[in-house]
This record gives sequence, C-alpha cells and structure tokens, in this order.
Amino acid sequence: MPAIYSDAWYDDMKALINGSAEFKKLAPKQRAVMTLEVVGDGKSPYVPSGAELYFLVVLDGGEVAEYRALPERHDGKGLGFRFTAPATVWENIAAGLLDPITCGLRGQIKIRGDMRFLMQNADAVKILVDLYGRQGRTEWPQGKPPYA
Amino acid sequence: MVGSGVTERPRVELIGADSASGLADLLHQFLEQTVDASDQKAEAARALRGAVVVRAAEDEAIAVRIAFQGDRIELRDIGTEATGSTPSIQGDFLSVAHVTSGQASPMALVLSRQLRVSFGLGQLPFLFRVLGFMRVDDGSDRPRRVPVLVLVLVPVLVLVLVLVFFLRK
Repeated sequence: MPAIYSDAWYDDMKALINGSAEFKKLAPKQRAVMTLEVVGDGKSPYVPSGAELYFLVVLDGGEVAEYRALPERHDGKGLGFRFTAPATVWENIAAGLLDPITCGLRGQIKIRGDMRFLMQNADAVKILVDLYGRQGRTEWPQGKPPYA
Repeated sequence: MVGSGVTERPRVELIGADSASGLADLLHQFLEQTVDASDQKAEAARALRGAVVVRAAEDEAIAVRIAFQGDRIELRDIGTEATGSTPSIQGDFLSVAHVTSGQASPMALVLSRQLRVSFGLGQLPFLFRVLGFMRVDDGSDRPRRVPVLVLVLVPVLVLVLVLVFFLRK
C-alpha cells in the first residue's frame, strides 16, 4: 500500500490505469501531456501551506507512459493541460470523498488546456479520474481526509 | 469578412472571470478555441444572435448563460437564477461532451433523458445552429457536404422533438 505522493504511489497509479481495459479502449492514441498541481492550503498534512507539488502524466499510444513527480512547475512547453487545485481537494478526491468532475465544474480544480480535445476524450478522462478516486489503495501515514 | 479574406473572430468574454464557476471557465476556453478553429466556425459564431443557458446536471446551482451577439460572445454565471424565456440545456459533463464531440446525437440524449432541454418552438433553429457551431469538427477547414441521410432525418427528428415537447405538457 503506497503512501500518497511517494514514488511507489506514482508507480502504483500508473500500473492501475494501464491495467484498465476500459481505459485502454477509450484512451487517445495521440500523445497528451498534462500536469497536476497540488497547492498547500494549510489543511493538508502532506503539502505545507504555501508549498506546491507537481506531477506529470503523459498519455501515449493509449496508455500512461509517465506518471511521476516533477521537481518544479512545468514551464508549459508541449503541455496539453494544467490541472490546479488545493491539496485538500486532490486528497479528498483520492480518498473517494469528492467527485472530480463536479470539482472541475465548480471551479475547485482549475483546468487550462485544449477543451476541444478534452470534450473528444471525455470518456477516457472520466475513467482516469474515477480510477484516481476509487482506487482505495492509497496509504495515509499522517491521517486520511476529511481533515478536521 | 474583412478585406484580407480572413473571418474576424468574435471576442469571447467571461463576465466575472475571477469568481467564475469551473463550467463557465471551461465553456469560455472551449468557445474561444472553437472560434479560432476555422473560418467556418468564426463565421458561424458571428451569424448567431440569441442566448442559451447551459446547466450542469451534477450541480443545479451551476448554470452559465451564453449570449451570442455577432462580434461578441458573452458568458456569465447565473447560478439558480430563473432562465425566463432563454432556451436551456441541462446535462452531465459526459453528455455535453458527447454532443459537442459528435459522439452522440442531441436528439438521442434528449429522448433518453440524459439531456434536458427547454425552449420555445421558434428557438429550435437557433438551438440547432448553436449545437452545430459548438460541435468539434475533425480539424478540417473545408466546407462539408451534408449527407443525404441527415437531410432526410432532420425533419423527422424535428417532428419527434415537437411531439415530445407537446406530450410533456
């Protein structure tokens, strides 16, 4: 059981997504690069207030080619999407407590990128975020959401 | 059209952008990218006059009014505000995405109740044109021929929609 934001957790998420036959069937075949930005909000015990974590997800040929932490914010070159949200929002999603699509519609997750591509690949996006939210495999060494 | 032969793009503006809902923000980006996609899309947007409300099925308090004003497209959050006589479309993210990407027919989704639409009969042509404008093409900028099947099916589907409209009352 990998701890959230650990290297093993990123590897596990990648394996989980690539193990989904449904995702493989619906995932875009062209390369898509996205970054998830986790902003410390003073509530999450994993990301200090004011700090940020970044991770990169690269889809290529219908599967996840990369799912790893980034040492710094992506400079935007070659980037298809940027998803930004407070750590508490991401962690509540990973714990299955919040629906990521509703968070996106409410603006709790800021999305920047090619919306036409997003619409064309909405089924794959839905599977991706559902896998993230329903995996139930994440370990929470400093406490699990909801936070007090 | 301007003298250079390039269609002038309508300006897409999100009112209250700093506090906008995610749906308004997504639609704002989507419409900007759509009018930039081709001259045909820009022309189609400039020809539209009227407004439509898009409401999220996931959260009924999220609704965005899109006003097509020729050289300008204005979006603003209206929340739970009454839509009055403005036509409205309500659906979940996947249904809206399926319609805009051409993976599903709006009519089929209306009949299966995945999309809920509200409109006056006279607004139907406008709604069709809005949906046609928002539909993501394959990237081609060439004028497309309308298949014969579509020409035959459209009047039939319009008739079905009219019947659904009256039976619902």
